[in-house]
Amino acid sequence: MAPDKSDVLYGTLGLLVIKTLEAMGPLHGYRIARRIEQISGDQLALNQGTLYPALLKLEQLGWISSKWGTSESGRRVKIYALTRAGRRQLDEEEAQWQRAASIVERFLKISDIS
Amino acid sequence: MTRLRILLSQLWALVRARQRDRDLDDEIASHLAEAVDDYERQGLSPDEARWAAQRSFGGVTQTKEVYREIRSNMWLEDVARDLRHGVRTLRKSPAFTTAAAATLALAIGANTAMVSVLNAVLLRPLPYRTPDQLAMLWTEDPSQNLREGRAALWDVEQWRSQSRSFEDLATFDSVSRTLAGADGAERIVGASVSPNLLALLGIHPALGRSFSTEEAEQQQRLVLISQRFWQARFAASPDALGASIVLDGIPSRIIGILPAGFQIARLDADVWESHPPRQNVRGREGWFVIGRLRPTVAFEHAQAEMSAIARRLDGQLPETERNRGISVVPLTLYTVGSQSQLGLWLLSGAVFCVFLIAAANVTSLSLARSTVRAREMAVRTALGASAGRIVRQLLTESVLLAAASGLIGVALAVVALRLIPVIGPGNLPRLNEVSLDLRVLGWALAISLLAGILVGLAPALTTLRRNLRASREEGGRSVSGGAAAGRIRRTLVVSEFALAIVLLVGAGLMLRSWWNVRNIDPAFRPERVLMMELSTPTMLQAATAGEAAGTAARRVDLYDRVLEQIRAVPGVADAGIIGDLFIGSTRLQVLTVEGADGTAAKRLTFTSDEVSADFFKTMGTPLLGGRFFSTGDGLEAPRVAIINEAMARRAWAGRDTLGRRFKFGPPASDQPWYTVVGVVGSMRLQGQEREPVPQIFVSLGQSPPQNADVLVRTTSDDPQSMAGALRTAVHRAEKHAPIYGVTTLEERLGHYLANRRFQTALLTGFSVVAVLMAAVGIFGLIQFSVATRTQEIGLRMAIGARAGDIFRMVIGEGLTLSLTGLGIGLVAAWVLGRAGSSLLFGVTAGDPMTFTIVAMLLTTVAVAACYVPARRAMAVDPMLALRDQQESVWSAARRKVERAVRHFSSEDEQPAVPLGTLISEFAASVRGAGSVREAADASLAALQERTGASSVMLLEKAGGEYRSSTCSVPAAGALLNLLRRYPHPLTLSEASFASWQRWARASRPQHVAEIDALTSTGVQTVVPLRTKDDLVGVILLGPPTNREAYTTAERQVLSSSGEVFAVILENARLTDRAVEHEKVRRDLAMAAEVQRRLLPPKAPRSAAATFAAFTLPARTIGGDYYDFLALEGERIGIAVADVSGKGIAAALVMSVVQASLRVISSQPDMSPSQLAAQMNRFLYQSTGANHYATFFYAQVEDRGRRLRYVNAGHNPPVLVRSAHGATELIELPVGGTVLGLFPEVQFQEADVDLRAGDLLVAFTDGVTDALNTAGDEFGEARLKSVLRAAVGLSAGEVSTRLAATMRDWIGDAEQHDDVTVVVAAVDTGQGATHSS
Repeated sequence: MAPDKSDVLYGTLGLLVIKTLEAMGPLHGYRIARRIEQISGDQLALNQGTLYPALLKLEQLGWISSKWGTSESGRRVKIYALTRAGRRQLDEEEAQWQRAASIVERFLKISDIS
Repeated sequence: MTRLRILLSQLWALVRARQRDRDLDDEIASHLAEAVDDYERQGLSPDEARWAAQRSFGGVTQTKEVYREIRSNMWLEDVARDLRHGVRTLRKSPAFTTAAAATLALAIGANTAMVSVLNAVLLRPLPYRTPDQLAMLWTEDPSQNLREGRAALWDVEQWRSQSRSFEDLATFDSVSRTLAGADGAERIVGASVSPNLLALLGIHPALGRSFSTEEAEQQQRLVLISQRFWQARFAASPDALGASIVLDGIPSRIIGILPAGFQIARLDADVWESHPPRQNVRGREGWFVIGRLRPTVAFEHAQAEMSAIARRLDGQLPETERNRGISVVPLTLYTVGSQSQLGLWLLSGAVFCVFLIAAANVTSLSLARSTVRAREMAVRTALGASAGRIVRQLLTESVLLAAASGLIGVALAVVALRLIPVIGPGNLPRLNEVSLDLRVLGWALAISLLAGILVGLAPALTTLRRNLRASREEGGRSVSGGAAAGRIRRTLVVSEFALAIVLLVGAGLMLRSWWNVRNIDPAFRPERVLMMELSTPTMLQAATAGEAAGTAARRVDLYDRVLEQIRAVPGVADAGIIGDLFIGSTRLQVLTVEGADGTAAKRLTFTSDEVSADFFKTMGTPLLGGRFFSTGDGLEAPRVAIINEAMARRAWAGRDTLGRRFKFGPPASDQPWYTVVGVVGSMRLQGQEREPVPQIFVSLGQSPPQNADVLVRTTSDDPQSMAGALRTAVHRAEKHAPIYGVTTLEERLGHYLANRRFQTALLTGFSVVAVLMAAVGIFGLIQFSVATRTQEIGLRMAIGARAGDIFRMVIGEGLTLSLTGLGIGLVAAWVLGRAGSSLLFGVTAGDPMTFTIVAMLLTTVAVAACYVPARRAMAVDPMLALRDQQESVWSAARRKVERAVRHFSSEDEQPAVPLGTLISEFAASVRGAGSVREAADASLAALQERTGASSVMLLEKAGGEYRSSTCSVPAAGALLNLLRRYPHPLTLSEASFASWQRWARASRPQHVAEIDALTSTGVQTVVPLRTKDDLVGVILLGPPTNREAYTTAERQVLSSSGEVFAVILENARLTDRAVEHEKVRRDLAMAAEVQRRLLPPKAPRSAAATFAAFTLPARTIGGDYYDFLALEGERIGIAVADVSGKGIAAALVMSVVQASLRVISSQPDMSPSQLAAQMNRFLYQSTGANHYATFFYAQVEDRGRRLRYVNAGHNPPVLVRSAHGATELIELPVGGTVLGLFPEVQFQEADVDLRAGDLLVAFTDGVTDALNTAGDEFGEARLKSVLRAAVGLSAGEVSTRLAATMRDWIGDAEQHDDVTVVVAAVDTGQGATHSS
């Protein structure tokens, strides 16, 4: 297993998850997955299974909380909600992502010119 | 903080792992159900929807795996799993586990017990306040052999007032007291101490109080009693305080009770009284002195100061006591004694050696096991376990084993500690304190862990190495894991032997010391002698000087009556009395001696004692001169004395002693003169190791002591049984005389030897165990080595090694190891022996006899241990070994696969029925298969049957493609690219094939052919066979019969069975590679050996010609062969052959050539052509047409005048002839074709007349083909020019010159073939030589 690689993946996915939860309020796993896919215009071929490890990680970090509830179709599902710490973290993560993205962007531009 | 939070949640998850697993299952199930709902809403069929949901979710198993990894701390869970796995593995091989655990447990137990003793006796601080500041102070005078001398109170007072190092000094000594009781009197051990002693030690009475200085000065009769005495006499009642006991007739009041177990410097008394702390005049009494150093003062400093004080005080001392030093000895050191201390350390070292040997043995065992388990590890690696994981698993296993052994070991130690008071030496102090405390348990834990790591590390490392090698594409010539394991095991055996030898030498030296000690004549016969102590009644104590005479008379009378009564007891042979047989202190005293050269005062160390007339007779002490005492030596008679030999030597230089006079004290003293009337042998009562003490014996009838020892020589083998009768007899003589301490003399003496016996017995026991373990170790190694080399041994036998050679080879292997160990061990023993030499007696640490015997003994043990494996090696059937080679490798691999599959199916907790069935069918097919290929085919058939697939095909990775017999796809092709990204069974419907094909035509034309090929196979589902880092193959399944597609459950089964299949393939591949590699390596070694063996050791001599030959073997073995044959009629045969092929095959053909040549040439009247024909036939029959040999054979006949030869396809040898200054080169080509290719071949032969000086040079093509570093061939022309220049030289000279030329030519270039040259030179007639 290569933890570094996974961490990056979860990190990115994590941002998507908390952003989703911020926008939509508490959701269960399948809905979060669908939401991410829809927002990305189905551009992001999310392997939905990878969502769960990411959710767990976020929960361990204390950014989201979970409790058992019922889905619209009446199934027993775990419902995830953003915590206050998660909300705070969201701003930070967003800022960080912007920074990273702008660096990459600049890099790509320079590469284009040369 | 975050880290902590994660860790906490991980720990929590670990606790509720199962519940959390179920939660995740539920969550995923809900997820999938929701997705299916969604898809159905979009219009998909239920089946399609389910499939789509599955696909968008991805791998469920993987998700769970990653989820679990995050949820739990992987490490924790791994440990738990490793532990479970370890327990299972250990339980699966009970023989190994039992042997290993028993060995380790015994070693750990012995260590723990020994360390408990060490801990209690040496390491645990003495039970006083800051005991490391306590010291004993002795007066000493080494020139007089006075050590540990005591001091007078006056001296102590001077020391105290002048010293700055000591906070305080205290004095004590043991006293003997008669305790009056209701049922008669009794002797008890008492102590007299200065009142400050307890305060100095920091000891408070458990009850009551200590003495005050005033009370001591006033000599009040106050006592403290021991806990033991308190319990025995007062039933531990507090009323004891203030009670009175009568000691020596004087009532004494109890003021305190000492803590349990209190003793001081080996003095363990029941009643403790005080003496005044100081005296104003210097008395002659001697006290033990103990001091407490001021904090921060070092012993060395105190010693320096006390030495200075001793010098300063010198002037104030009487002349006889001058020049004495004061020595300061740490109390701890004194309490144990330096001998015992050294002994304990040595024993602890020895038992640790035993532990190391045990650990080495178990390590070796587990290494052997790891070699066998290599396949299991390969499977685990293939399943994705990292090298680190495997190392950790092996370590967990061994630590588990060691921990279990440690537990058993500690239990064993507990039992052993119970026994210690029984077997331990009585004079080793503090043995009663031996127990398992935290420190000991910590030690047990530490060595258990050490054992675990030692035992696990070696197999782990070799496994790691093996895996690293396997993961490299080309193994090259790197050391294989098996070879590394073998090397470690050999090193272990060598170390075991080295350690065992150290122990055995130690034990040998101790045994010899013991023998020496036992063989010293103690000058008395202790057997059958009973000893008891007798105290005269208190009314026989003189109160005033006036009464003394009367008291003495009454005592003499009492002793007479006692002896009389005792002699009357049946079974008593003799009886005698001595004042104090084991008289303790030897003081330096002044003795005035009348000698040949006048009267002189001498300062001597001696003891004086009173003995009855029959004492020496009772003891069996020899009279060396003069007479014993008689009844005539009474109170009124002149004073007489008997001295022992040591005294005679010391005081009268051993001459002219009888009749001499002496008196105690200086010449001016008013002591009476004694006349020496007898000299007796020096009794060694302090043990045979001690030099006898000079002794003076005076007559009991002239100075009867208050207390005495009665010795009774009985006729009974069990003197103790007469104790009752003797007690009654004494009682008849005097009602009020207490008798105590009745014991046999041997028992009392045994005490002195006990320490040595303890050390000797223990060390001997340890070394025997060590030798046995070393023997087991070497046996196991050699046995294993023979077992794994069956094929090699078979080959050796096939090429002519006799059983004896094999036997010698195996024994030799063992001997090499044991002798290496022996060498190291002997050196180590010699070095260590010097450290422990003070424990030896009458033998030096380098005693040659001990070393020789030990070396011989261990060599014998090693040979004996190797004997069984050697016999087994001899019994190897060569044919069987050769034939079974292929078979046995496969069957071993098959067993491993079976186990792996079983292991896999039991390990994975997936109860899905179809998968389980399938796997067991795989296992069954593997079991029934004859080769890896068959196993794979049978497994495929099972898969097809179980899934109902219409077709099934396996594509195996081979180089750059994956192929079966009918189909192949490139490794870089479309399918494999797809599979690399999607690790799951891939469904390829007709529609998807179509779109795939369209895509390929449009943008990836290179894939078109591949996709066409795939389409034509009718494949519908592709199952990748994946190991950790590779796709080893692909299974192509046609659609299920009678159905459209596989169900989800079937897909799961396909996915899982793909994993198993991958294991089977990978395993087979690993096996093949390992086997191949090992085969090549052995092959080369064997072939080299064969070649060496077949070549003649030296060239023959003949009257008419000289012969010589050389071979430069290539690194990859070629097939050159040459031979010289001494034939009848003084003919010499020369043969050169070059066998086709390389390696072991060539070596085998070579051996056939050699054997047939030897046999055929020995037949009479065999011409060279006939010989060649017969050899051809023989070679053809025994090798088939696969192998052939070029062959040249010549006979030198008629005293060097004729050469007959046959050339079977060999490059023509050259005859060099020099006549009339011209040199002619004649080639010898006549013969026929090569040997061994055709069943029947006719050969021609030729005759050549030889002349004096002719040179025959036969060579193989390795000579002409040899390349130099520039890549040029040596060539025939060069050879011929060298030969021209060689005219007139002897064969040896030609050979040497040619060899040098060839070596120079080849230089650093790689040599591809053997270079062989045979030379015969006809003598130049009548001994004359050409000068060229």
